[in-house]
Amino acid sequence: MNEVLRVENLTHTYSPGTPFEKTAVDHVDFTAHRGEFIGLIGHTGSGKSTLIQHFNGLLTPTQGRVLINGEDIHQNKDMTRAARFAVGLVFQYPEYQLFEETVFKDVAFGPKNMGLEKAEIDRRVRENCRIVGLPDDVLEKSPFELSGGQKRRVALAGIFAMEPEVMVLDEPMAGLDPAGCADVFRFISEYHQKHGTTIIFVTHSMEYAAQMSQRIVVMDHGKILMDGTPAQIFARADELLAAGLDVPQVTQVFLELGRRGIPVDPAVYTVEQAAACLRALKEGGAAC
Amino acid sequence: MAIIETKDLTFRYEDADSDALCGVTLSIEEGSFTAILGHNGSGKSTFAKHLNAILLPSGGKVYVGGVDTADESRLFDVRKTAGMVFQNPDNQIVATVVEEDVAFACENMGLPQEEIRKRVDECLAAVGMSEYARHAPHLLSGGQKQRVAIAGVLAMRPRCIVMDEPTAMLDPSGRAEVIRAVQQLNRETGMTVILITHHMEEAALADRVIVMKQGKVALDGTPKQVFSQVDRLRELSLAAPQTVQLVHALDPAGTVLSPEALSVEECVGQLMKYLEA
Repeated sequence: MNEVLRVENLTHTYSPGTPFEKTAVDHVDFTAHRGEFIGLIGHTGSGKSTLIQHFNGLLTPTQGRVLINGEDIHQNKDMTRAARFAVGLVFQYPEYQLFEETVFKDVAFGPKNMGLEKAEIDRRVRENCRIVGLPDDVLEKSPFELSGGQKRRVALAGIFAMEPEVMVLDEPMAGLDPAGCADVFRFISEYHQKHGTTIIFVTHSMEYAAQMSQRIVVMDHGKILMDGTPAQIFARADELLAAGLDVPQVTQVFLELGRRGIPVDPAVYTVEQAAACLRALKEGGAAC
Repeated sequence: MAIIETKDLTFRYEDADSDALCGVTLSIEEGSFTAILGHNGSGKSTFAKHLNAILLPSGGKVYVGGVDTADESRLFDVRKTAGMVFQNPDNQIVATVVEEDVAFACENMGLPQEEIRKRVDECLAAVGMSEYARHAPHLLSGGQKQRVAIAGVLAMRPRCIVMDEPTAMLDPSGRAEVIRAVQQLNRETGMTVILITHHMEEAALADRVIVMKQGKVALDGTPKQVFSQVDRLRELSLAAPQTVQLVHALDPAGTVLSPEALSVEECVGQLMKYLEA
């Protein structure tokens, strides 16, 4: 697989030399490949937000390097600027960053700054608004007239329209109800399939991470604690709980069954998997 | 005794085509812990905003501590009785030092300095933020900020605290800490808690769960009564907790297993029964 983003020996210390000095990211090595869908999880203060802000040069490493396609993004100003377009960062509650007069202008803001042709901007805005399910008649409305869920879609379309090589989404489902979460989940998957963009999806939820990603990276205390497939990560569910992560209830149930001597694998995270496994166990007595 | 009563409460936003609340009649007991669930647009936040007169009814009545919220001369009494915590802590923090932020409302209430000091320390301890008392709020994480916002409301010593998705931005440990602090307040000081949430596991800790849909109360009962209705919840586009769903999937008719398995422990108990049967 082709490497697209790499951080080498990255350390970031906030407020160095003051009483508030804090090393948020501590000697981290991490590589993302083209087209990968990575779930990045960790509890508050684990360093994941600090880490992702290095990906497009918003933060400068205290130590270590950030490379996009093998090039150090801090070697000169042009590279740093290029990194901003190569890596799209969607912050938590991105709807608070909407500012334009119309939805169209807001989504077009990024592509316009990239210096694209008018026709290309137009195509990108319309195409990506369609992906996030915004009807055409919304495009000329003020984004501030829309509902919270619709604003979130506008904000996502704005980043989609920049067609970055790597897209980092920080808790894109936060604060949405279950139906809203499912919608956002679908848009991101659809965009990923269509463009083959590398997606780094930051979440607290093991469940979302497992459903969406082929690879999960777990951060704790500024370091990478685990890196593997969902099955590999869930097999260490007890360590995840110890790191303060939200392990799905069924996984916790299976951990407890295991402690009671029932031969089950804790690497389940959906009710369907769990029910199928228990039925099989009851019928045939086979371990799952 | 009821601390909050609504009678046939209706509300319509300006320029809206339909009512956001259509005839909600509820009574909330003093000292109880009530969770309100529902989809976005179900009216749950609109309902919450009526409880300290941020919104006033288009029709019907809301009484908080016996006071009609529509009585403008009693507005301060209503707000003193029911404190409100919102989803986004960034919109609620005003000061540049954590402890000053928590003291903000107390200062406005004109309390003596020693009393403010005492309350600020107590409330920061209650949300596990004592060690951050002298920190700058903007350097805290979202979860920590929210705990500061909650401490600021607690410092007013309201009789009732209304929380509109206070944990939506928090991580699991932050969420657990906040909910633990809220539970403790409810149990030890008898504070009435109304928690608007999307998290079933949080709602399961309440004494009473109310599910809203299209501006009406769709379900109302104890967590066990509400969450054991897996199919009904699905109709309301809500998912029962995974533990309940798992038990329901194995025994939909509930012939052998009890669907009232809200905790991991209760669920494991039911599953052991299933495997042995």
